[in-house]
Amino acid sequence: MSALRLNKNLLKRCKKFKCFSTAVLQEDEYTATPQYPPILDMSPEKVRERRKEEEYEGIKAVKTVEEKQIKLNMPKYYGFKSYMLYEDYIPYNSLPLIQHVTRTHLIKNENLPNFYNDLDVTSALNDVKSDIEEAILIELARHRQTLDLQGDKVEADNRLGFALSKQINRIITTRMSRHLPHLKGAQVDLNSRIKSFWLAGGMSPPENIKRYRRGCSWQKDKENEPTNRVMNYIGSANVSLRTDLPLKHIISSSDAESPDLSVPFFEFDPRTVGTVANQHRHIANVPGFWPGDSREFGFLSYHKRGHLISRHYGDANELKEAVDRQGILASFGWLNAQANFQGFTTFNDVTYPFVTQTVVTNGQVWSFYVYQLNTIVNHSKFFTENAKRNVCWGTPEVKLFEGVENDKLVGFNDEVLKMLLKFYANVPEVKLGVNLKPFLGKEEKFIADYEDGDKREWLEREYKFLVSNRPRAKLEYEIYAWEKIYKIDHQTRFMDQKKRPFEFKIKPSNRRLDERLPRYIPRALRPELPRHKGRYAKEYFP
Amino acid sequence: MRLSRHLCKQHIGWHLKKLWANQSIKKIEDSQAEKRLLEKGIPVVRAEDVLQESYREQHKFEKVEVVGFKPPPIAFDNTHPNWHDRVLLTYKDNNVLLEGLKQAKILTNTVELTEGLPKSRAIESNKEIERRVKEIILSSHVFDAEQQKLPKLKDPERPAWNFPRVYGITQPRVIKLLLSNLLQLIENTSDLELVKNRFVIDDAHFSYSFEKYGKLMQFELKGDTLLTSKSPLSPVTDQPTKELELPDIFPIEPTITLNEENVYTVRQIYPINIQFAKSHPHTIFIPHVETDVKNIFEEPVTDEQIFGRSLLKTFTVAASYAKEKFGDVKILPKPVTVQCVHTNGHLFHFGVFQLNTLDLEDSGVKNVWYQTNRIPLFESCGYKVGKPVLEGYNREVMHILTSFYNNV
Repeated sequence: MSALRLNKNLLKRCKKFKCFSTAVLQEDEYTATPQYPPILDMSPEKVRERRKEEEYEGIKAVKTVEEKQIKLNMPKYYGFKSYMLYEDYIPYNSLPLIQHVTRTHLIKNENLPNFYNDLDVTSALNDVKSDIEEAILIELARHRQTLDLQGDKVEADNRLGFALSKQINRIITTRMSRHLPHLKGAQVDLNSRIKSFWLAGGMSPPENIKRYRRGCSWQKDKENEPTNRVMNYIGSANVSLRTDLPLKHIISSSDAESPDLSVPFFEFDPRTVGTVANQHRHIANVPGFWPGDSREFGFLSYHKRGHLISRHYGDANELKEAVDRQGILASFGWLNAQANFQGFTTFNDVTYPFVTQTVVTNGQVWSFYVYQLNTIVNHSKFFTENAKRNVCWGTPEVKLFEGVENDKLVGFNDEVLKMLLKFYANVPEVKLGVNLKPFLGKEEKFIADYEDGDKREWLEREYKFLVSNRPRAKLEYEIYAWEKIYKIDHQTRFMDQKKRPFEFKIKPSNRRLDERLPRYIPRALRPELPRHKGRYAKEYFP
Repeated sequence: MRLSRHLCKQHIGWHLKKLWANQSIKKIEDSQAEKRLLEKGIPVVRAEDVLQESYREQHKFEKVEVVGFKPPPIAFDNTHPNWHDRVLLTYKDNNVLLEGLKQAKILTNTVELTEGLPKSRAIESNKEIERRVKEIILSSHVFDAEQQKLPKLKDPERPAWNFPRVYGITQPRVIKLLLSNLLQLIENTSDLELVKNRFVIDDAHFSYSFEKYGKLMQFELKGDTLLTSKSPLSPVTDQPTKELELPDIFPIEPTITLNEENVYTVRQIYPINIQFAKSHPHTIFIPHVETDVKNIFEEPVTDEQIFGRSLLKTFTVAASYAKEKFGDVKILPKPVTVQCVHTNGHLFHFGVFQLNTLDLEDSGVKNVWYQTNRIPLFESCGYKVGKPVLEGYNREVMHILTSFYNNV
């Protein structure tokens, strides 16, 4: 019996050997001048850098939004150790850190940027003013009972802010949509879920990484080189409006590279200002909707500010910074998630600016922010090489009214309402000559565009599972304290049987997303196949 | 195979011997505490002595306030400050009546004149609006990014089977998004002068208490979204209702499945100050969250019971408003009309209620109720093999909603 009949794979294997191949005689193989491959720097740093760039290109080449997000998650089966940033938990003095990780230049001014000066809202003001006053009075009267009570003040403030945001948005939209069609088609979300992920570099490494580097002879001299950190923002907008077209940019891309736009450099570990990495999370970029919704550009969002009541540092200046921090993070977080839905990721930078308008309010006190997102790449070598900066224009806190006396509002400030109306009067427009989704496929931009039904279903399920970040049934792997003491630091239990991953030099955290068995198909569901075939369902990892 | 070889692989005996060796060396150390205390003149007492009756008689303990010690919770019995011996029958947001609409009609002294809704002016439909409505349905049922635990799935054929828990958009959120966006769309496309006369209030509470059959009753309900208007809705009919009979559910008592409570406060609440120009109720939007609204027994909620819920909720709004506006009168000087939209996000139930009298035992004048069946907004909406799909959109719902909004 011939060897080929015994093993069918033999022929495939043989093809690999040169001795079985024949020379190809092609004339065009030769050129007049010799063409050499490029000379590559083979130093470890450069090799690593090239490998990284290859990975970035790999992510860029993925066709659909959802697959890109799955691809980002591929390196970690158990999720990334993330520094958690919450909208309503603001540690003391965390504005410089947030500006650093979001690469934001903050411009605080009494007025909005000059772009808004041309918008005339006088007639709209007359149209809505009395109705808004009335709505405020009614809501205040309804909520006064709960405000006066000894109950949870934060909750009461948030409730009032939510009710007033809804009322004011309703009144303005219904009145102004008659002559501003973009408001007519805007999608209004209530309490939308916003999650955002990005990498931030430039900060000095934590102690465990330093210790690791000290232990490697070839890394000793790089002990203090900055490391990247995974940033994970979780927030929610009271009311948010989305449109199908993006807002106009406020400064051009060349201005965004100007060195005048200074960003504070925060060199320490974020844990020094109370931002901790205590969770392993899958990468999730969610701007309040799923890919495929036609209104995918943020227009305006209202945010709560009840949590500021519970701050007890007694530092008025720091309180103002806390609001700015919330405004910057809310805007950046939302825009970054939107940019991810256009096919950009933290490894592939945006090709055009994204703009949004943000309001932080409880109905009485208002802070306005306009944010232009110019770049979302802020890690590794890009931290120093990337010249682009994001810009945030913000106003100080202003009061819409001073109070209520005899069932009438006292000190109603028209200027504040005007600023809000100008936000609504800012018309989104078509970006001429700009491909909004340059890194997505031509035909297939979302998984719903794929022909293969099985693939669509698999990707949809996998994507939703990852971004839900639902808790796993099994407890997370950890090295217990007693193991650290008695097994790692001091080898006192040499007689114990070796069972745990660290005893075999295995790091479970390095398990990749696709290192798992595919779904099993029961025997009864594949009657036409032989017993040993088709056991596992097909998988479509990007 | 020799079993002992594997059993002795880890030699527990070694550890055990080590433990014995360690523990046997241990000695109780003198901490010198007694000596130090005596030096400072602090009396030292044996622990056993403190437990003696004679010692406790000599040393009385003072009551100390312990920080963080919670007082026992208030018991819901006759020691409760709101305890009343007279039973109050209540109907709340999550209750349904056993006999549904029939029972609700008896409780509220209501008759149905004709089937279907009263005639209102037709609203022309628009392709653009229809496209937008479809988008709104998709964005609230499919595209919203909420991922919360959904109710447990159960298969009646194999009740012990545990399905993996599904994460998705919860029903209250679907209803909230759908209604708020549809309302916003109607407001954006309706006549501006009309829109200026309307006002929307969310999460308002209504309460109406009354006596019937010698029993005290109270309907306590949440008006999740209430549309109010500058002028009250005009009455639908002035047809006499004396001849019309209330339904008969004998041998069942009309008050069956109402909650019996002893701890309560009797109150009348209409959430808006009546002095306010736009305080007149126009339309109430009621969410029907299937996991919350339940029978007291385990039967599934029937359509008839949902109709009854619509009627009772609308009655509560109309009656609490009438009480606030006209005071203690029996036959209202002017009937109060309120419309109702009751939905679970998929099926819509519409009703119009005209309150003629607050005397619920009066057989001469009765209240009037009009209603539709439950109308589906679409056939199906969701992901089908990974594709978001909306099938079988029904225009009728949007027609009725728009005409409800435009009714004056």
